[in-house]
Amino acid sequence: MGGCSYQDASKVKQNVLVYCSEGSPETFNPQLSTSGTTFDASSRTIYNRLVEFTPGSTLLKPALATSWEVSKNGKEYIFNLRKGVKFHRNEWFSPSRDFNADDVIFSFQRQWLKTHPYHDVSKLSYGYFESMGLRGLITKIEKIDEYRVKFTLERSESPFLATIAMDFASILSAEYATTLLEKKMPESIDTHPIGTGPYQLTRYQPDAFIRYQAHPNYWQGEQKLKEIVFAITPSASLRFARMVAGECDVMANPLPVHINVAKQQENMQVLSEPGLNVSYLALNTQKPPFDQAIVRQAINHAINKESIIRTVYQNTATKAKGPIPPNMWAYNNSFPGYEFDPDKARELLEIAGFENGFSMNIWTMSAQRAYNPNAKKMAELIQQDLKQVGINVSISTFEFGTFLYKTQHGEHHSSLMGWISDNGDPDNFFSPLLSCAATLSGTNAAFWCNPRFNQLLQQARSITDIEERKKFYQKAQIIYQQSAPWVPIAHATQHIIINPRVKNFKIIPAGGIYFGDVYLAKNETEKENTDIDRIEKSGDKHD
Amino acid sequence: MIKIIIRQIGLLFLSLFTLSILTFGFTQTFPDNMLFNFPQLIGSEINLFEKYLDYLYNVLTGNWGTSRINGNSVLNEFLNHIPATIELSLMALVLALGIGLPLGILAAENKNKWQDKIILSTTLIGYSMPIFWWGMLLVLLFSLTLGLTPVASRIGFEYDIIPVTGFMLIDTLLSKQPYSIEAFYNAVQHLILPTIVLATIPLAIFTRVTRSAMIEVLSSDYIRTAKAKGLPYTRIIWLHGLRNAMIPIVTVVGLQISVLITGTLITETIFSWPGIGKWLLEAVHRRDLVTIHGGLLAIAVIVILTNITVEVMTYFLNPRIRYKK
Amino acid sequence: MISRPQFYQQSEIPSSIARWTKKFLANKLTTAAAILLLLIVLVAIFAPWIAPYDPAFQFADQKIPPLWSSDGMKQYLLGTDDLGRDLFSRLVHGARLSLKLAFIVVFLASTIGMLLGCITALSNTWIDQIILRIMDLILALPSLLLAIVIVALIGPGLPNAIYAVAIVLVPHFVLLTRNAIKQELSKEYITAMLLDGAGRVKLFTHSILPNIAPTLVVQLTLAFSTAILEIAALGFLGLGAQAPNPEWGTILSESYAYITIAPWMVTLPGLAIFFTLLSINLVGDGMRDAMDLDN
Repeated sequence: MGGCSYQDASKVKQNVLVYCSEGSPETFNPQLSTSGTTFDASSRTIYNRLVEFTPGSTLLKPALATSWEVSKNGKEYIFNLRKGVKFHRNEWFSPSRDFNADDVIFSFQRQWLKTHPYHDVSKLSYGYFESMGLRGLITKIEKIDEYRVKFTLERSESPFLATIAMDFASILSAEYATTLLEKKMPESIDTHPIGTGPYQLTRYQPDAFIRYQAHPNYWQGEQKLKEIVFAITPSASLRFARMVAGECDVMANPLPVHINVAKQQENMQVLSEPGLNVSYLALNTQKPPFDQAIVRQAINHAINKESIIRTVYQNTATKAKGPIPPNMWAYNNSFPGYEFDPDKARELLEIAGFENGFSMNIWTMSAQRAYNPNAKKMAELIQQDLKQVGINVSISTFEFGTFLYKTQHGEHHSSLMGWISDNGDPDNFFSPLLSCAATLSGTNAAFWCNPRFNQLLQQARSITDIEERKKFYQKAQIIYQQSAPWVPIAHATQHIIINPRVKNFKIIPAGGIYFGDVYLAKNETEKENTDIDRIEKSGDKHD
Repeated sequence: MIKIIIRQIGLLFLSLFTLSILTFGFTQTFPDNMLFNFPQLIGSEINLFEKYLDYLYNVLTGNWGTSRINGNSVLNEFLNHIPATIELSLMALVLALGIGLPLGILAAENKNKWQDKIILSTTLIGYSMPIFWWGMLLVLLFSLTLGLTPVASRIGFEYDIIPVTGFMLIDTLLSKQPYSIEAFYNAVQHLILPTIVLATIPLAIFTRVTRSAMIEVLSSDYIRTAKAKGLPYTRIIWLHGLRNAMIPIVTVVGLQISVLITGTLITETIFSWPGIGKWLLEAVHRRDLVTIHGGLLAIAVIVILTNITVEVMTYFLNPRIRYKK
Repeated sequence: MISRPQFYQQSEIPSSIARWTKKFLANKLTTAAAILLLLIVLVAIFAPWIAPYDPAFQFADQKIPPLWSSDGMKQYLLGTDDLGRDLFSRLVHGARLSLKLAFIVVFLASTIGMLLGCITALSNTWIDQIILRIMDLILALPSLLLAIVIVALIGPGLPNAIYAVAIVLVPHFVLLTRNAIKQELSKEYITAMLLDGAGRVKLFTHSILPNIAPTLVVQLTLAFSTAILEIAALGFLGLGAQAPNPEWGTILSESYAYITIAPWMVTLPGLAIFFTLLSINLVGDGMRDAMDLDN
């Protein structure tokens, strides 16, 4: 296969970065979503937050807040806001003022107050705000003056700053909201976003593309790269084909098999980093027979993770023993995990009274995610493994949005899920995925609610000393291990394939894409790869 | 003449009525939580007839509900997606006719000779082609191996073309961007493979129909008379022959709209072509019943209208019927 | 049997079936197609004995190219897929599955279709008008679209895909049966039979069925090819057979990811569908020619 392309070395192409993304965003308001696809398209391009993560790490840095003060008891946070931050504009709205405290209050109150005029504008729920427990945590949000906001908390909460650096805490424009209310079209705030971020949305055609333009008045200075297009391409094969043909500059979620090919191609460069993620089979603990811990343990023993890592991940992942990846500080090293042992599994099933096995379903999604390149294939392998211990598995596959929607209602026996860290804090794995609160918001797909475990999580949250917190999390992991609500499968390595002309691109360990400070090298490919250049030129003549 | 038109209009309304009953039945299967997206009268005191009238009123006034996924009006979504499909289908139709008619005539002229046999077997190959596979093969060969054509979508993403008519070939030329001509060529390149894939089956069908229609015409008395009169051969074939063979051909071309729509479902999926086929399939995968209902309704109306138009056209084309008093 | 001595010079009129067979076999291409189709059917019937391995069994050798490639391995004739399953075994079992499904579809569609056809032809009430209108509508609509909508309503999966494709095929049989019966009923010998007191059932089995048999056979062949194509298309779109079923369309859609790396995973299942369809269509064409049904 040649690395050549039908593309002419058009001048137009030199100014536009094409990112082949994996799906359409559900909305352009990150408050309303838990999906990375939506965050890539909204919070990471259009919006800013009070504090943000340094790109490529989990360290916090000031953003829309220039500094903050925390009271001694850890319950009060005062943020000093940045001056001179400009919002985007669109056909209905041109901002008359800079960003100020009203915008912060609007953005949080919309999610917090059920009586807020914008609370129910969209049918979607505030997934993260609820699952991170902010509803119960925040007791007051006050405007001290134009550029100072005070948050009062119910209790001291160590991950609070990391939490409000998350995508859902993006800052929207209060003035835009008022304008839209007057025009009687409040729902447009989520479809035609106005933010302060490096790029503004210019056009969106669902299932086809999203176009962004650099925000000329961006507070960190206008971006060198003027235009970004998200080419929505759900099929990974098609994304890769587009990469081969030079139609994309950056490709989301390559399949493991693509990585090996891309390494040998001249017009592709592979960036890798161990990811902060987990993929797992959530066993619905509300549904018999998975209400019995012994059955869940049996299933843990029955599944051959090595074979999954070899086949599905092509060895680009590490085996998972528990819910958090080993590169996190809260990881319990003494953790035994469940070894692959079908005999042991059969034995446990016999004790539980299922010597003749039973039937169950596995729900999967058709979309490929950063933590799971092919959920369908994984399900087929698990189906094979479970057959060996007498369990009959039927597989149902859904489109991603439907999949999330349906698992929230808990009709599944088991479901192949995954999680990518949002803020690098271990609490961000435990709380949204395994806390009792998350059984209500629907992100706890195992519907597992263990009071002791839950209490440990809360204790760990209330202190800031990492060594102290670590102790609580290690105890929590032991409880998790005994109860086995999941079969943890793998922690995938993050890969991104880019065209060598894309410069200054950084992988976010938590997954997702960030284009701040990225630029395109002019004629770089011609200098680096004269071969490609020649083929492209000869391609020119055919046109 | 008038009688015929009245009869056709009657048939049209009968078909539309049957369709409305079927689609109404479809909406009755919607779960209650979809009422937000698709307004319906509910309650035990309302009978089915009232519900039907309400449904009819909604559909006729363009209230087709909103998509469960993004909340957009289904009718608007349909209108946004249809130009891409029409553009692709028209190109395929032109390609299929442009090659199918001459091939069919060539085969008819040489009935049972080697040319005829080759053409006939080729059409059967085209007709038996699973086009989802055919599309993949073409992409593998022309886009990935030879690098001659783009892989997918309507135009390179570096070109920002504002939709005016929705037809990319027109919009690129209307565009005020400095690269409008370049963008036009790019759009043409993007059309090549999908057009070939979509045209394959209609091409096979047109060739066969033209062949059999021409064979019948060529064996008729007036052609023999024309030959005897010494008229030039090409004139006989193209003027007298084709004109009379047109009636069955037009009928078949009209019927191909169904085949084309089936083809677009698959072609648009393979080439990520943002038309109604891809739109509908996404809706099916998301079980967005409101969108599926809208798509089905719109396509059915288009198909019914085309069939009636073709029926009327054949009356006009057929002098025996035209002059009958 | 002792051959009967021929005392008189007789010109025996061959039965119509014999005539058709002779004419059919006169065309080499159709004969070849018939042999190919027979082979495919035999492969389908004896799949468990022909396939060397269990189609779902995952070997450790993944993405091994077919035998004729330099990297091929002799134990895998057509290579293996991304999970290390033997592609030859999967395709052979796929033939069994595809043909079985198509057979069920055609059986359902033709039985229901002919029944409805008889009802509409023999009764003259408003019911048959309604049935006819609905059939016309289904016939006019794109068949794959309709099948997809039906699957969307009742949910994806194999049984549902079968119903969907069968429903779409029904109208062809209704209209065929109805028109043939109407045509026959207007003939005088039927009137004669009726005057002789023949019942409706006898009328149908003795005079109408034999007369529509040729058209019916051709229609069945066409329906068979449509059914195979449409089941494969639904599988390709992820709405028909679900993995790990070795259905051809499903295999094809799964293999798309490997198009640049393991092209045989894409080309081979496609060739299987293509040759099956081609042989059925050629046989159907040949039968139509042989029976002079070209219209």
